Amino acid sequence: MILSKIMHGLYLKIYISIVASSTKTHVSIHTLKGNKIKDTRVKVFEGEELSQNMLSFIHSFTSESPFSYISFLDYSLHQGAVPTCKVEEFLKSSHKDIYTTLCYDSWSSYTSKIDLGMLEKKYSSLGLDFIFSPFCIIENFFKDKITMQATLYVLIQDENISIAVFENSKLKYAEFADIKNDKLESELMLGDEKAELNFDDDQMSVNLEDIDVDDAFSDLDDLTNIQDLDSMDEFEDFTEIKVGDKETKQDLVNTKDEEHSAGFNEEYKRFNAIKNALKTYYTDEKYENNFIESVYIATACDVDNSLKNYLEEELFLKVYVRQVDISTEVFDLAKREKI
Amino acid sequence: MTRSYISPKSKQVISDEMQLVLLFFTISITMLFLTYGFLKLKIYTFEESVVRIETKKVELKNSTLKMQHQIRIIEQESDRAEKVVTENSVLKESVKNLFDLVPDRITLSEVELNKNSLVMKGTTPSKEVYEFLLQAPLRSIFNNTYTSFYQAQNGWLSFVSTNTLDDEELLK
Repeated sequence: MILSKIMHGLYLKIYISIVASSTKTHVSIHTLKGNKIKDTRVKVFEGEELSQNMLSFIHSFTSESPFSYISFLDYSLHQGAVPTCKVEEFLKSSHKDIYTTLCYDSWSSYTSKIDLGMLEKKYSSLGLDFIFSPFCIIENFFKDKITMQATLYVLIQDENISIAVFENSKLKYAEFADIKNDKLESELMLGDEKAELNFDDDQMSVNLEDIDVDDAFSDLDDLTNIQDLDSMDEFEDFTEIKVGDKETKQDLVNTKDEEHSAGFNEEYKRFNAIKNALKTYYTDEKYENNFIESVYIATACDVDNSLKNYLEEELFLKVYVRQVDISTEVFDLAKREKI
Repeated sequence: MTRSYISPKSKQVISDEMQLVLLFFTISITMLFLTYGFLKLKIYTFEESVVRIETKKVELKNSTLKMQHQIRIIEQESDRAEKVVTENSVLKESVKNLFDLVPDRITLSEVELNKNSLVMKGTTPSKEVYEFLLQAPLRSIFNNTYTSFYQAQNGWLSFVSTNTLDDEELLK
């Protein structure tokens, strides 16, 4: 024990935090001498695969000290958190065995065992030491706020969103959603898949009977803010498809879809996820609910102001937005782990 | 309280090869120390036995000296005893010879035999009997012979004969 302490004192401690998404991977490296941070490096790699560049970058630091710890933020789609340590009360009994659960004081987080195994296998050449739930990031980042009355806390990442309700430091509700999810995408792409735009090579025309306009635009019922509709010129443009040639029509559809996606759509998806989460929180009897007046958002990516507007104007919430460096938060969690 | 789904892997400060080398050195040093300890113990027990043997040697030496001393004493005593026995036998022989010298007619009442002298007291019927029968052989043995006579109550003569040998005669 004493020898171990001496060894820890002699060597540098290197904490490597990896936050991955499908497009890029953030790797941050914190070098500690004792308890003081000696050096911090951050590098972003394209894609989520463990590239040779990433490996050599990480190895260049891990080779400096035997006490290097690699932390990872769980991005499994099959994860969440429940306001009890008896996870089986919330999860279906058949699901109980497929999740790895971790109990904290009064709440638990869970994640898919398969995803966890795949993650460990994927990073086996590095050897992961810690895998954290994004809900722990929320708890840690808002530790000065969660002691308050029931409040909504949101962690926004490039591709997913973690939503939690804390009241007096106790988790009351949690939801993890992937905003790049195909299902959600399809719902929000104005039902274009359902429309099945059948371009006939010979006739170069669109079978308008196949376009289910009502269904496709059903999600727009939620958009009560009329100003947001200003950006939705797509409805008019969409009509042009009927008269153009095939290429023009295709280009137009693609271009408009991209704009749609990249524009308000992403914020709308986030808004939608928050709204659905709140709806579940208020309606599901499993959760003890209290009225939520405010929402604290920790955002790790650039978020349009429209999300704040949606929440304020649609859900009448007081919105506070903070920027968060997730890799630093992951490092903070890793540092507090017993090693 | 842990927040991680997995536990950190144990960190090796020393590589496997280094561990092997260290293990080898540790075993070697341990064996050296054990050998050193064993030899030290052996040396200690050897020294102990040397001291014990030295003590025993001294004891035996003392005992030998004591025994030699005792042997010497015994030899001396033996010599003395032999000498006494010889002297006694000489004396016995002398006494026997002396008494053989004394004729039947002369009666001895007291004989004192010393180293270089013989004193005899007795009675004789007459001075002539004494001079012829006893004084003559005494003169042949002793260098000096003095005899004094005095009248006894029964008419005989009591005599005291003092005979001495010279020192030279004794040395012979």
